[in-house]
Amino acid sequence: MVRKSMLFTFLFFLTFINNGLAHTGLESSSPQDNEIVKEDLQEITLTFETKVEQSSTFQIKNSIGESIPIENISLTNNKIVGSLQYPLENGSYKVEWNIIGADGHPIEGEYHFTVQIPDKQSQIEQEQNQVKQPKQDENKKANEESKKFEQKKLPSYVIPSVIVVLILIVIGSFLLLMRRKN
Amino acid sequence: MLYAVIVSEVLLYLCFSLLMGSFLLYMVPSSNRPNIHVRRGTLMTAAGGIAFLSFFPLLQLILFLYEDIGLYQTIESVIFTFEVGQAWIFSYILANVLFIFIVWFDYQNKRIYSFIGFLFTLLLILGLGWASHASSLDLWKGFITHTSHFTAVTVWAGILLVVSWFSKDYSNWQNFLRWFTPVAITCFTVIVITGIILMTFVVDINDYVRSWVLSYGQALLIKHLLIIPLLAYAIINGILVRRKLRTNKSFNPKPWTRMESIVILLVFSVTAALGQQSPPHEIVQTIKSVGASKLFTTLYQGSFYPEMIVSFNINVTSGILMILAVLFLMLTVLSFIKKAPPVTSLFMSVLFVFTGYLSLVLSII
Repeated sequence: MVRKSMLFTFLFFLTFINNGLAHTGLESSSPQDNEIVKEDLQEITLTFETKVEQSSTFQIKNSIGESIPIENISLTNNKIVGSLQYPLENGSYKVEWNIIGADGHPIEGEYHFTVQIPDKQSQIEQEQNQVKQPKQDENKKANEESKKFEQKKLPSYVIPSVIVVLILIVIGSFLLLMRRKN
Repeated sequence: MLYAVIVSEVLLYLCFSLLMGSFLLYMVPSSNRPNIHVRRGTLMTAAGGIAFLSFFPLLQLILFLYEDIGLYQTIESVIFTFEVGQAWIFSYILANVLFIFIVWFDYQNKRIYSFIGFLFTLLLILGLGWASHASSLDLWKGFITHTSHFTAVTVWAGILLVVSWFSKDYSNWQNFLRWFTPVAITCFTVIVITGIILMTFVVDINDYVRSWVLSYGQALLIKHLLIIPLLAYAIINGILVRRKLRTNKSFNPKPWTRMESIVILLVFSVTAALGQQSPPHEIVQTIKSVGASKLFTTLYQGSFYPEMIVSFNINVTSGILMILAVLFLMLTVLSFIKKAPPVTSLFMSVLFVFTGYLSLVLSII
């Protein structure tokens, strides 16, 4: 009976296993990641995989890193909709989201999109900007990353000496234990 | 604050185990268990502890948010509109009812009352499962898995804790083992299966070794290593002790179950620490946002960069360490056979985890 019920539980859970990996975070967005938007853009929608709690929010930054004011952010279940006062100008933008999922864990992330409306006067200007900015950005990023991943390695003699000590403990305690009666 | 949350989590698991273990053991006829005496005050503290300790994650959230929208408003919105807040209100009310129940009803002598107490504890676990991390990713799958995982843990650990620390003698120990061994095996099987499922929520099985780069993966690895000595104790307490009792009636098995419960406490601590780390849904992304585990980068011999592909490759150092780890595991059991003080075996199992950990981490290239 015990065996049967155990087998049953096992099969029961086995059916769940292959459902794959669930990801917390962004499910979809409008505009999408890396999308090139060719129309006036005044509303940004982020859809998440779980319900998002009050005080979840996002920011939009242009290529220089200035944030674009968002007029109104509304939360409904798993969606955040932000509307902008003016349509976005041509250029690349970064959306940084910062939410609290239904499990109460704060989660953050970012994605990029580009606005490229044809026949705009500022196009040439923007392109110039774009050429200049990413370089600076990359430099900054590389700097930050190398800081984060600075490694303090152990001196090379530590591990061998730890091993020697461990061997001594094994031998010592084995000898001590074998001296005792069963 | 981080450490406060970890400590509060460990205490919370203990409170649940204590309640579960006490009510279950009081349900068992006294001829099938040692004489136990869990004071009313102890269980009242445990019930109160659940109400109070389960608030800590909310407190952490409130402290994280209050600067933006003000303290009072944050408290109000976290408690009343957040999913975790509502789950806490449920737990809080239920824990209070349980508290009053413990004061008023004689659960120590009437089995029906200890059964009701058991049901209350089960309901509290459901509340916890509802608020858990996994359940928000995939509601029913997460809820069922998390709840069964935690229920199995509290049943197993709870009975073991109460019998080790709250029993007055060790009478009927063989009768006790007769039913507890299958219960423990069932619980352990459920824990392993649900544990693997819960793990796949956050770590792809194929990424298991890669996740060791992160603090989350490190904690997970240590937790899994700790489960192995726990199995050694299960063999000691389930098989070897039973044999010994057959020949020697006056043998006291309690010090050995106490050691097992201490290892469980260690597993609880690592689990609580695990809960506070960012889970590695996307490993490279996570490394970039929270950084790699300091422990890992210190031990890792090559140069580290976030996109690196780690693979498992046993070398001389890790091979020697692996053999030493196995020896430490054998010494854990040998300490029992040779009647050494129980603390010796605990020391050996801690060394097993340490050595095994070093071996695995050093075999990464």
